[in-house]
Parts: sequence; C-alpha cells; structure tokens
Amino acid sequence: MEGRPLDDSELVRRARAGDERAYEELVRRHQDVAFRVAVLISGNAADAQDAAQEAIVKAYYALDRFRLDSPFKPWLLRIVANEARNRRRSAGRREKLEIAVSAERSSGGAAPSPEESALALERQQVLIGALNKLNDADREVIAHRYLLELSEAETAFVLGCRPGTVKSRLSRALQRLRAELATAPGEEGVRP
Amino acid sequence: MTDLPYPSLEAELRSLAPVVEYPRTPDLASAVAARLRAGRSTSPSPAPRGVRRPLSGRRTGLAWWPRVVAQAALALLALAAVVLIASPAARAAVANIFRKVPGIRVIVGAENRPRSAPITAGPPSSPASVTASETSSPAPSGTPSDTASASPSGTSPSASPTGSFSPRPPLTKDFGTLTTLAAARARVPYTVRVPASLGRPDAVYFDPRVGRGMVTMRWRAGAGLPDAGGGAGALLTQFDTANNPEFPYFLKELAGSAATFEQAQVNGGEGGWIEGAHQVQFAVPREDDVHQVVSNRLAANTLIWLQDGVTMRLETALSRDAAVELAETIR
Repeated sequence: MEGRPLDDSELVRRARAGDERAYEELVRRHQDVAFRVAVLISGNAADAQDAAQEAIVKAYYALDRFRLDSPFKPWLLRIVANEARNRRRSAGRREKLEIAVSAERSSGGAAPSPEESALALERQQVLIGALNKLNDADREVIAHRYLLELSEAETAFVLGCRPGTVKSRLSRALQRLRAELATAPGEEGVRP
Repeated sequence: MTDLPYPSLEAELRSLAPVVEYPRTPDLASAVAARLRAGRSTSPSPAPRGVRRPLSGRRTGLAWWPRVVAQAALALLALAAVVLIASPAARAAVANIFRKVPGIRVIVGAENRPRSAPITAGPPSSPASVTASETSSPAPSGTPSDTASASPSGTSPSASPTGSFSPRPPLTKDFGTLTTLAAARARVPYTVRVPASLGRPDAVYFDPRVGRGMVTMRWRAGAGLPDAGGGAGALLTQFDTANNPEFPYFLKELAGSAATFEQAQVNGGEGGWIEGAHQVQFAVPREDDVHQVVSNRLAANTLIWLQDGVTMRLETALSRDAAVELAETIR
C-alpha cells in the first residue's frame, strides 16, 4: 500500500480476491464512523464494539454482495447498523446513549474552531438535552444526518429506507426537537 | 421548519458534530484482521458476553417487542453466544465459503468439516447413494414421542455437540406471506416440487423478493419427523436465481459454531449437508441492488442442493441419511 493510497473500490476488489490486508486497510479508514453508528444504536461502548466487529466480519464474507461502482462506507455502515439494531432488539435492551459534548473542547480551551465558538457551550447543552429527550427513531435519524455528517442519501441507505422517507423523518424529528427546545428550561437564555 | 426560535437548527446540529463525545474507537481493523486470519473464531469483546451487566432500571421506554418475544429472543441469543465462545479459541483454520448452490453461501471453518467422505445420493446416478462413514443410523431418527428440543444434534452419533438448544421457529418474515400451493405454483416460472413421502404441506409461504419467487412449505412435526423448532418437522424452500444468480439470499454461518458441513450430491445436483444448529441470515435485494437483511435465525439440520436449476433447501431435525432419503422423494 505504498505511494498513492488506493481508493476504496480497489481495496474491495483486492479483499474479494482474498487479500485480508486490503480489507484491514479499508476497515481502518471507516472504523471511527462505523463504531459511532454502533454506539448510537447500541447505547454503550461494549455492545457497540461487539456489534461493529461482528458486522465488519460479516461484511467481509458478504463482499460478493457489494457493488463495486457504489460507495463502500454506507454499505458497511448499513451492515453495522443492522447488526447493532438486531442485537439490541434481540436482547430487549432499553439502554439509551446520552449524547454529550466533550467538555474540554467545547468550553473553548486552546483554539476553538469557528463552529465551536459559534455556539456557546450553554446553547449546545440545551440542544443536546433536547436531543436526548427525543425517541430512538428521531434521535437516530438526526444523529446520522448531522452528528455523523452523513448525506441524506447515505442516511437513507444506512437506516434502510428511501431518501424521501429520510427527508420526512428528519423534518418530523426536527419539529419535535423544536418542540422540546421550546419547553426546555433556561430556554430564554439561549434564544438567538 | 422555519419557525423560531431555532431558525438554523440544522446548522447548529451540524456544528455539534465535532464536539460530540464518543467512546474511544477500539482498533476494529486489527481485531477483525486477526479474526479473519484465525478463521473466525471467538468472542470479539474483551469481556465475556455472558456476563453483561444487568440493565439499569432507569430507562422506562416502551418495549419495541412484546416482553415474551424479547425474552425468548434473548434466550436464543445467549445460547448462540455460548456456542460461539465455547469453541476452542485457537484455530489455525481458515474459513471457506461454499457457493455451489446458487443463492446460498455457507461460511465454513475447518472445525466445521466432519472427518467423513463426501456423500452422494440420488436415484438417477448413484444407487450406492450414501457413504456414511461414521453415521449408520439409516432409520429416520424421529422418535415421535418427545425430544423436541434435542432435535438438531440428537439425531445421529456424529452430530455436533450443540447440546440441547432448539432453533428459533421460523416466522413469516423468514419466508414471506402465507399462501396456498396452487397460488404459489401460479406465481413462479419453475416447477414447484413436493416430497412424495410427506404429502401435502401444512403451510405454504411465498416471497417474491427471492430470485424469481421463493416457495417454502412447512410440515408439522410428527411420526418420523421430529420437531426442528416451533413444531415444524420439515421446511422445504425452493427458488430459482436465474434473474440474479450472484445474490446470496441465505448466508449460513458455521464458522464459530459446532455445526458440521460436508459436500453432497443430491438428486443429481451439487449440494451440501449442514448438521447442527447454525445461524442463517436471510437478505433480499432492494431496488438499488443493495442487500437488506430480513431476518437472522438459528436453523436446524439442513440439506441444500440444486435440482434442475432450482435451489432447494430442506431443514429438518433428521439425520443426514434420513434427510437425503426424504429429498429423494422430491419430484
């Protein structure tokens, strides 16, 4: 893997031919977002790790199903999301991840990014608090789209629905988030 | 969408992306690579799966599934996990994928291969049909009395040590919607075959998403047909993949379980025999050609083969010999 990095589809091609190192490289590229998808669905790191790892192994054996002209990341994330969801449902777990912002970064330690400074910590906290009050489905679609920064099409793909459905799910989720924000304590302090 | 007080809610949510705190990403790439090298083996998590901390009672959300179903599923999941981690950790084996039966992939580890000669069966070619090296229990092992749960492994001496867990009974979602044999026949371009020895099925399912249509027949357990889970004695699934030959609708994972696999010739077609409970993932293509996982379940002993271009899958709690014998009556 020297020189110019290979693109995902070339790595997939090699992995299909049995090159496990190529697959390892491919996974390394996407493991952060894969793990986060699993965390958001599983609700805790241990289950997320199990689910993500199992899904990535399954994806390896299912590489035949992958179409080389399509992007690999959403395909992998979808398998991860399926695995995490199946496990969570099978286990009847109700645990829910409390989304949190990292204190040291958001309080603007050394050099806050423009985004960070744009939104005061308090305002972030209120927003997160409202987000955490939403139901699983609403949180899931918002988290994939905005917190994991997937495109609408990718979000649809990962969640297993049509792009149009994501659009309407998002819009309803945002409406409910607005409603939560409207009743959030200290709301007047964070009005723009 | 445009009402205040958060006019740019989407932008604000996006701005959270870099500051949301996640648990640290474990080195999944290395862990997976190690598992692939080891031929897929043990539990991925550092902590044993069986000792998850109990659920804290603080979440009171409505259950997505009725409690009973969830508990049953949990029990099965726990058993599946036990099977996974009970197998020896150090396996120098490399997993293989068996893909001779269109629409079905079987992931086989070296630990899943029985030390016996491949079997051949079928009236057309080989009268000396079955070369059973270890197993010579020709009679259908269906003691009709009880043994419901001991089914997958209790049927033959060479059975895998999967103990006494019974596969989850197949649900409608595994096979499509309930229909009649005549209606199903009318919807597929291939000949739907019925095993003469079983007669009319007790239920027929149809799923249009698999190949050019998948027909599944179900017979209740009874004399000579032990319970393979949920009261079903036999499940026969058939589909033809002419329109999508590469798509693996059924992904059967043996690696990591105690199920065994051997290649087989059944009714003149390539096939395989899986003995012992094993996980089956069932997926269908969506309109964008992506696979959508429909169900995951544990299946019982399964014979798979290609007969006149049609993929056949027979799931029972029978021994290999008895299953082959049954398959030979399929016309």
